[in-house]
Amino acid sequence: MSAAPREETGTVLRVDWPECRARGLCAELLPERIVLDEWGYPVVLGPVPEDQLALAREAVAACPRRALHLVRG
Amino acid sequence: MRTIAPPARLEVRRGPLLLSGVDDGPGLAAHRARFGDLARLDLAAVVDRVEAASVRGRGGAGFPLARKLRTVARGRGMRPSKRPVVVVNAAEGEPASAKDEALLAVAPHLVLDGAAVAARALGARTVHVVTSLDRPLVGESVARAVAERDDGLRWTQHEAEGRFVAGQARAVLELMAGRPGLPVTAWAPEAVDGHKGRPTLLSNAESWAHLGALAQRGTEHYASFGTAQEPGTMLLTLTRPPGPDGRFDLARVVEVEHGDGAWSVLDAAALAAPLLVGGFHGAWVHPSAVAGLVWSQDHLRSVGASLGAGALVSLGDGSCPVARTAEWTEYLAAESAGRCGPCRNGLPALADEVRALAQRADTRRRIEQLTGLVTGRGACAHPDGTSRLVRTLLTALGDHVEAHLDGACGCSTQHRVRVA
Repeated sequence: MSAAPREETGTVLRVDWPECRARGLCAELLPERIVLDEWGYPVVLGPVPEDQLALAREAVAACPRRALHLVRG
Repeated sequence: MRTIAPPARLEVRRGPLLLSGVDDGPGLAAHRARFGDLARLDLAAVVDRVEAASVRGRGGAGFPLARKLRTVARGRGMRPSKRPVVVVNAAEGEPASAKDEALLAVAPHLVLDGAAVAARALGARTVHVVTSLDRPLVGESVARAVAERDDGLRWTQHEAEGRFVAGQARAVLELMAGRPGLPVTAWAPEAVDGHKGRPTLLSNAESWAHLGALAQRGTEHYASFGTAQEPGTMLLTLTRPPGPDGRFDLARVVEVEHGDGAWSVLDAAALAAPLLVGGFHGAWVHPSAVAGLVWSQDHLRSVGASLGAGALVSLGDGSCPVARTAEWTEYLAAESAGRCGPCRNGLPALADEVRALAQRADTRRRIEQLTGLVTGRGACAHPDGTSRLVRTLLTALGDHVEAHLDGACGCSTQHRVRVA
């Protein structure tokens, strides 16, 4: 069970799952890209297009657990 | 809470390469007599051999070892903070697997040779060996072997907790860092940012044994086994389902050549029964497809399975795959570290639905929904692997599930599902 180096493209939102406590701010700030599952945890919908980058950065900054990250490919 | 423990008894058969010396005993002198003095290879030679032999990681992910080696080599530097680290992962958290245990019991020096050759080529000074607390004989075997060695390397042993996710790469690095040995989010591969932030070559014990065999015997000898596309051999662990006490009884560990057929290791009963390929994170294979299986990563992928760590659980005992999947999903849910929300909430919910399925409620839609919901949403692959087990019950053994729901599978009375 070893994490392989992965290839990524574009800018994507990644959740630091052990840190996330389902506060839900991210889904409020960025409903275009984040919805909540039945337990209140974020479901990330696809990569972030250019015109949503600023909003995405806001959502990242707003997370009280610092559990949301923007990652470049 | 259901637990499942590793096999009580191990039977290791002599094999063509890694297990060729099982009758010699585990000592260094016998190992050197068979495999020669420790090879001195520079980094380019090590990478060449690993590349030529297409060695892939045997811990479950199947990642090409040559690429890991190159990444570590690129990231290393002269500063101590960039000195590479080598890790032998023999934590073997999967209870259906016993091949790393067997390998370190009968041929520890082949594993350590592989790690030593890579450590020397990379300029690493310390090699870490991680074994599991619930397989104490492995740690003892490694300690005896390390005490015999004269390779100038520092060997450090660690013991991981005997739980499913403790063998995951990041969990192993956490343990080495003195924190609880549980998965955390990896922002970069271990090869780039591993132990203490250093480039870390962490691989499964069997992967190291393949490197050891390549270093000591050369590419040509290695390629005399297997096929042109997939040279060499692989280790498999064969078991029947664990008993009511949750412990696997007998595990047979065999070394097969890539390209060998299923018949080479499975008995008549196993050839006609559902087979779980790749352990509890693996995939079910329909009885009609078992006899046609070939031990090759490419072939298994083509039939929707993957070898994982090479653990095969056969229902040759006649037990019901629906009831068994319910038991094992319950076990896997309990094995979640509970750190990631989707896994902590999703796996118990999934276990409930599979148990209901075993009790003949048609919960297939909800099961599909839940497996979709947890996959890819955790620090490690535990939710993904658990989903694979359950999903392949519905896909590969769909006819059995139908019969089970109709009360016609004939095995539902043999294994009543315990309600927790």
